Amino acid sequence: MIDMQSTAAMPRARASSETVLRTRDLVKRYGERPAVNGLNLDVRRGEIFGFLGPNGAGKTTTIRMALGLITPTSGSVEILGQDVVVHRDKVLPRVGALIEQPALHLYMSGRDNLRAVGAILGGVSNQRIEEVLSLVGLAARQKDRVRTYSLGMKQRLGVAIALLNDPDLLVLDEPANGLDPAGIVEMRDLLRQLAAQGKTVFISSHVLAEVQQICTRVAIINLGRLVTESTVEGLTRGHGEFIVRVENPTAALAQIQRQPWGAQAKLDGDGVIHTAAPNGQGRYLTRFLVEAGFYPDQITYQEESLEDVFLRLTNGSNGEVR
Amino acid sequence: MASATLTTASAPETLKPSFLGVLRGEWFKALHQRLTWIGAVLAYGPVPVYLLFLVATPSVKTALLGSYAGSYLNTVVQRELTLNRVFIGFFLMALTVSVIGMDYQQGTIRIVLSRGVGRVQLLAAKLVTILGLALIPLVSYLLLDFLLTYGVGTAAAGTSRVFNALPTSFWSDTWLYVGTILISMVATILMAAAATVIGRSMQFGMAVALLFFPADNIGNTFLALIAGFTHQQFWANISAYLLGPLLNSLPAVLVPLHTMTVPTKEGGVRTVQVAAETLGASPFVSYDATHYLVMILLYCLVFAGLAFGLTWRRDVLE
Repeated sequence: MIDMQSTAAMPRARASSETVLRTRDLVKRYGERPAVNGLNLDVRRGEIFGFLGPNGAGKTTTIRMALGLITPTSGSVEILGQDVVVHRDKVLPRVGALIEQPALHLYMSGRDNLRAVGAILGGVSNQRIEEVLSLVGLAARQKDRVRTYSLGMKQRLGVAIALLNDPDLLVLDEPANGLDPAGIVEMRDLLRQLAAQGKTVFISSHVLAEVQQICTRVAIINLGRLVTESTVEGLTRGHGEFIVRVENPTAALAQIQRQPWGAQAKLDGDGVIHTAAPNGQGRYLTRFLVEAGFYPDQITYQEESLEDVFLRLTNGSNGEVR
Repeated sequence: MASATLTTASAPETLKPSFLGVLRGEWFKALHQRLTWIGAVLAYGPVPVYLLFLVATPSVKTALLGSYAGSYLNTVVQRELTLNRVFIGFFLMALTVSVIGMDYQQGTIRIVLSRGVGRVQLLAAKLVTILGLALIPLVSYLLLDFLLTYGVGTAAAGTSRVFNALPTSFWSDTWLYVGTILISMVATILMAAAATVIGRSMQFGMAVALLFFPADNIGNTFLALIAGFTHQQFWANISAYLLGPLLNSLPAVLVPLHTMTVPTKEGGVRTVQVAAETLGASPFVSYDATHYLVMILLYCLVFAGLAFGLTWRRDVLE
């Protein structure tokens, strides 16, 4: 038994080399339009894997193919080494999923929703139902009709349903939807706890700051294609910029932009220069500015956030990959 | 969530949904719907209304104490069964649309399917659930029919001995009649299932299901008009291929004619051969029971083919 209070000190994940979810040349076409186009993904056991992309990038289509809800046009999806299309009855019972908005029977209580799913799965004890209800903080409201629940409570119940069968792979589409800040923190702790137990968590989310905090690796897709797949650190490292405050920023910017390393430099609305540095080193930037007659008041290095990476790779989410 | 603990002690071993499990889940969900219960109760409503109307009729005592009491009671029971057939149909349309359509509409179908339950397996489980749920009101209705008829007949006649006059073929005819209700129920369930699967929504399913039988009952009348205007038998013949009229008239062709004693204007009685009670439009041409059964079976196969075929082929986008 693991106490959730102690999860802050827990290692982020115990990822292993075993691939839990794998897609190979996965394609889904609707008519001539490819929703997913040759997608290759490898998600390993114990990872919290972030799956990112702008609206319409093909995230939900990929998830639906992974869960056997829609059939790929070509390519394959494997879960725990078995093809989902061929062995859906063997592999999908080992998956828990929350896709988009939680789908619930509004006329039943939260507990009865779990009992209904438990009846289908078979072998789900009342103790397990109590446990997942407590886990998501719905024990006190379990007998109330779901129709009376807030969006956040419905989201929690959706997570409880996903956890009911103690899945090896948990697929969550926008898990933070409707959760208040405390709920988001609790959800984050829960997911870390699950990953520490060797569960694999696959998250699709628009809340990139949240993904950056929790995910061990991320994949970014756009127009149905994989743009990049890497650790969060791997994506953000080396893509930062220097923030420079000087007395005459316009003139300084002009000098910087004449340099090959500074061609992309820009001035923001606050009169602050955002630039790269010679050899990527701050000290060389300082020397350059001083030699050019600009004595900087402040030079700081700002690492690129996942959001910056996302916007850079998806060209501001407008559908064009750079 | 903060105070919770996560343990794997009570976690189930790897689960694999079985057909029985899916059936159990569907049964559980359907029984928790108020519509199921309210619909089942409301669908019986017309029978007590009919019996109240009967009791209020001054001639009922004369009929029950007369020499044709047996025939009269036989007709009363068959009229109750006719009402059962029609109104259980409405109930089954609502139930079928709800059990199949709600999962599409609320998106809950993806919870079940993403656990490894097959689409066809799920639809089959839903249909078995609906049929099971349909049998409970049917049996209850039959019991109530007999109890109410017995009570009303005894009260109106002042003695229960009136039931001794029932014709010897009463029970066999009644069971055949119940058989036609069962056939009608299966056809209605499959029709509503096909409509709901096609539209993947409760509104579409309910609209089509509710319009289907009125449409072919009214269509039957139009066919008669066209046949009258054009003097072409072809149009009248089509009426023998419409599901509604076929189901309406099925008792009349399956249940043997029975001899009924009826009063004459002169105060005497005479015997006549009477077909079973029916309600609604009937085909304008005569065919034997085999034609009826084969045509109804074909309709059922088409409905089932549509429902299962589309379910099997289509992606779940809800």
